[in-house]
Amino acid sequence: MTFTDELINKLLTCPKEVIQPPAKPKLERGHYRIGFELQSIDREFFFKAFGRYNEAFPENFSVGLVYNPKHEKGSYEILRCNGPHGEHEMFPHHVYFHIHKITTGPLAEGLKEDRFIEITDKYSNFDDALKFFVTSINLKAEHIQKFFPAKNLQAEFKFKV
Amino acid sequence: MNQTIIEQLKLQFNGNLRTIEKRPGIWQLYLPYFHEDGDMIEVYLQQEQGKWKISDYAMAIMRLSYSYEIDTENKEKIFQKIIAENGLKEENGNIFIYANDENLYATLLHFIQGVSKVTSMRYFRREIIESLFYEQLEEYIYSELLNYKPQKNVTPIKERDDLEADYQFNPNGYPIFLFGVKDIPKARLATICCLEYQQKLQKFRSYIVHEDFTKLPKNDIIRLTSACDKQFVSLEGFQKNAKESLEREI
Repeated sequence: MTFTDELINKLLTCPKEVIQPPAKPKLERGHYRIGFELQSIDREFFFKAFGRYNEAFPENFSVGLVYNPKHEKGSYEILRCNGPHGEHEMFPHHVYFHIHKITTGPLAEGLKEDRFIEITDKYSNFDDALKFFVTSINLKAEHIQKFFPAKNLQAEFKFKV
Repeated sequence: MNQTIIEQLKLQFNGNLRTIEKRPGIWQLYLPYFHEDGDMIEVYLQQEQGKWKISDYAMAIMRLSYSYEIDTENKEKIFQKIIAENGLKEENGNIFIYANDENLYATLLHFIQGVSKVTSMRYFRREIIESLFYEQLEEYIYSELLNYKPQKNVTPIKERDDLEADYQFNPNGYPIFLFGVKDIPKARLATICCLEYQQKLQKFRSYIVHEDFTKLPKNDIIRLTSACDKQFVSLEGFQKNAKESLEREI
């Protein structure tokens, strides 16, 4: 699978819809979890999304988007909104809420696709991260309201690749 | 946390240690050990019954679950083997180990190594394991079928180096060309090769070893079945029957 900036941008920003809705968070082996499946509205791309938060430390959470190419085996972590669970190599000595994003740089070097992170102040807990996530991946508004029924969600953030 | 212990650990980690009190009595250690995505490996330390309890508070399993689930008996067995063979314990997802003042540094290193092995289970994902098909096929051929004089990457039609067979065996007077097939493009290439060989070669036999016969679309199966002489529906089937089949060619 070859990723270009153009493809990454398309994967992140293409309008999406839910095809397998999330169930209520389930506690399993020390963490709560939800999962749901998405596709681009033009049905070109298929994704899985997950939400996790730690039972002991709920501020340790992740909400992520995984791309499953239709005609190839494999899956790629496109985007992951994390809580302040610890330091990251890019920002030693600091602990931030941060977003992992797939970028072409690490892939070219054979590194894990989502090594790049950016620090964020767009959320400060799991619920807000989930709301931020579904908005920023461009999930269609009806499905945000139907499956993630929080009020007044606004697209506050556009991805720049 | 005991200041003397912190100072001792800082010295042992060459200054590369920061600590924060995550919850009362539970300290998170920031040590320069990282997951593949650049996130630091989570290490928590607390005192319990006069010992140090080093744990990850279920973060390794949570992290693993982004791309890999321990959801079968076999996967659970491998997970428990990693835990046991690294001297760790696991309760409700929490991986932990006990240490005392004297061996705390060494036990921390040991713990981090064990947690890394757990998160490395993501490399067992089906698509990665499946990519080993060709290696496994080669390994079997060169360990078990040497009597049949295997040759790798042969071009039966000299002027057509684009029509390469994966292996050639010579059990008797005519060659047997073998193709490993694990996906649609390879199935189509094997079909073309077999048809071209029929046009240009006088005597040969063609074998196909599928990674998983059932995953190919019906039309590809029909084309390949028409073109080749014999198919093995899986690598396991080939390993079980290859010798017998080759013996019948003699």
